Amino acid sequence: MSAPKTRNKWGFGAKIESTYGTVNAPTATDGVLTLEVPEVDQPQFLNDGDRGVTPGGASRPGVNQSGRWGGVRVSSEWIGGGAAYSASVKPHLDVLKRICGLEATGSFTGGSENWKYAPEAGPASLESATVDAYVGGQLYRLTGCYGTFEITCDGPGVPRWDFDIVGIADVVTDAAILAFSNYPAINNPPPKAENIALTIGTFTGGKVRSFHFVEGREKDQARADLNGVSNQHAGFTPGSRSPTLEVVLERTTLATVAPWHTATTLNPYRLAEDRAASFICSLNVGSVQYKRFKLWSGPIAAAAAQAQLLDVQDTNEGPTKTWTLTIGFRPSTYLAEDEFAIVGD
Amino acid sequence: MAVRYIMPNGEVVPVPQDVVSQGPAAEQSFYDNQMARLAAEGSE
Repeated sequence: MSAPKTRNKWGFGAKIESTYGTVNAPTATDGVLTLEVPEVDQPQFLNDGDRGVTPGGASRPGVNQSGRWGGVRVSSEWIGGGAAYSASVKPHLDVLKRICGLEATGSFTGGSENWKYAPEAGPASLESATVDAYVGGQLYRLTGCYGTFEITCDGPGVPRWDFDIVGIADVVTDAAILAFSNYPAINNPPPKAENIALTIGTFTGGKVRSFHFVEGREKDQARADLNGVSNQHAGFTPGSRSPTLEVVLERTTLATVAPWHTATTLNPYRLAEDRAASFICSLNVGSVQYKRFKLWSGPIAAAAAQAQLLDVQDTNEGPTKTWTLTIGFRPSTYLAEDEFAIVGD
Repeated sequence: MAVRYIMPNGEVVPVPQDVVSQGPAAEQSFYDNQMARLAAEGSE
């Protein structure tokens, strides 16, 4: 009697492609440490081969399915390099961030080494990856993968990074999990959301309940190719992005004059209504060098006043009055791609 | 290019995609070569 396929163990790897859609199979050094089993939605098809009904009221036999593609969703944690960053030492989620349309800039001046990520111009510069999910004793491979991501932190814990990835699908095969050797050292923990120094303009006095960053990148526009020999799916074309940060915090005394924020007061109603003055929005997760990450409005050089308050909702947490703020990130010019930066330093 | 380095002299060097697709070891080798180039230019 053979053992059943289980979901107790899994593997996930991703490797940047040299040319879009050309497989670059992840090796043992291309693993990505995920929080749980990858959520695979594969295979899917542009055409499912259904042909409708017959004059006799029955269903017609279908023809073959065409245009095979798939999706995978993974959750992970930001884990820094744990040592001075270099060309070969990067934050662990480097590849996944880059297939979400972020470009990576490395600077390795001794003592202040860092990797910074910011939106990248497309389409020629956009990076794709071949992604392998090992689930239930089977290999689910996607090529030409693009994705989008969110960062969710519901309390003083480790923020969760969620990636939603789509790509051209290979046929599913049986495969043993690759022995990934590049997982972070187990004694290199992820940073926690403590002392995050959330900044909204000059306001730094908030009691923050949670935050949720959404990159909001469109990625699902499929490229059908009737000329395709073995697969009539040529991949995807990413669209625009709409990065937002939703923050839940306790209400404070309302600021009474423009710009509607001081160190200890905030007037989100006027700040959302008067969009004239953009403000700096930033937060830090972790304090240890080479383990922490930062999110800020503006280019990678430094945080800049490029955030706007899009919406404020009066909310409650039991008897405590809170605000749920939705902050948008905007570019510095009509041509720039510098509305936000994620920094590992 | 989606990966670039800011060299010690402030020069921004894009990393070719065929290097990036080979992984971190190839990227480190590329960076080391760029540092050697800067050192050679500095000594000229």
